[in-house]
Amino acid sequence: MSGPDRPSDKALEIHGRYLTVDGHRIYLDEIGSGGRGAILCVHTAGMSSLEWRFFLPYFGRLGYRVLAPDLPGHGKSLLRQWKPIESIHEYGEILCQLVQALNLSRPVLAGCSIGGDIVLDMGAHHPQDWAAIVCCEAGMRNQTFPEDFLERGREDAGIPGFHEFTYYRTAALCGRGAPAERVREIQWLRRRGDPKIMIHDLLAWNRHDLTQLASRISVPTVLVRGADDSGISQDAVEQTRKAIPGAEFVVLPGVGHFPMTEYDGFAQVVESFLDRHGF
Amino acid sequence: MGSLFKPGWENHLREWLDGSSDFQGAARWFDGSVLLGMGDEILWLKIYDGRVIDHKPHPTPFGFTFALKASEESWRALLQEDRNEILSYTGSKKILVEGNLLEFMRLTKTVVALVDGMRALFREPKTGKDIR
Repeated sequence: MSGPDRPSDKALEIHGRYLTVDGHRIYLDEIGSGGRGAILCVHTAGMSSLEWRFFLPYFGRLGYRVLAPDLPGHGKSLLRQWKPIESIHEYGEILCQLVQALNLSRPVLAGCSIGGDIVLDMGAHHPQDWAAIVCCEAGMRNQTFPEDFLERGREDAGIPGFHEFTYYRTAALCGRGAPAERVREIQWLRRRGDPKIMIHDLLAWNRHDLTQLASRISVPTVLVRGADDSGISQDAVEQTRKAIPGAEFVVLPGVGHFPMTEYDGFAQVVESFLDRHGF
Repeated sequence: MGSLFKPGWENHLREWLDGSSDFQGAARWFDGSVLLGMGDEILWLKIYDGRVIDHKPHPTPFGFTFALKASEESWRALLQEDRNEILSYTGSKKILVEGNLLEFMRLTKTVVALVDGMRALFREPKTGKDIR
């Protein structure tokens, strides 16, 4: 046996668990003891904690407690009040409740795409609650999609074949350096999500605007962008970097919209950032 | 389309698509037509039951279900990409989609397979072999 399957590595297996947050059932993946602190990882639109499965063991071995929840309506977390959420800030406040329910003390907050939007939003609204922020493939303002396209998606009849479209579009969002097996996994992950949830997430992404609040982010922050990501421009991330005091910006060649799943070196990028800030 | 493809390429494209299980499977549930506009050049494809059953180098009185239109330069750039980027090009409007956008969405896999065939013939004009 090798890797996390060895009996001696039992403590480093990813464990799934459920807990109730504000009356709603939330699922999360978890690994590690937390001697060096906690990292909370937030997935992309329509997806789940599975996106972080390569990242979690790396930091678990470094002594962190790493947690990746499924946002409401995603993965194994139930839909809150049976209505999709359409607000980045609302998702963020639910994460804050999750942090309280878990008794986490100032975790590092990491997120990608809408997860990146969420961590920036929480950094601006509750800067005292986080040790650091890792924001991937997101910025303070992203209007990636035509609104009429997303509005059509409120009904299945408005975007027939959305699963197929997502499947192929996802391949184009991955970086040219991503291994084929990882691209297939990401395509599968994206295809299995509920189109309704995905569309509401993308509406939230399209309408989120942190331009007036980004300067409130006062904790160490790193912005990460895959150079091949067609989902957000270099300029949008650069503008975000300028708006956040002291923010760092790392560009990953050959990487696309899903660095934590596409590229194993992403974990080392985050480790290096945390090391620079004394974690 | 003569400047991007060799004369008669339309017939090779039909042959290529006839051998594509992706195209046949996805297009099996389509009865309509697709118009490709590359600069001034036109290719109209009538598709039914997973096959291209007719083609014309001009628009027809039947119109089209949807069209993919762009300059020759944009098509050339797409065909020269190292992977099939058709959805990036339509998403960024480097290639415009006209007509029934709902059918275009429903037929994503068909469109991807069609462009796979075009890419293959762009690189290997006679057979399009071994290039996806």
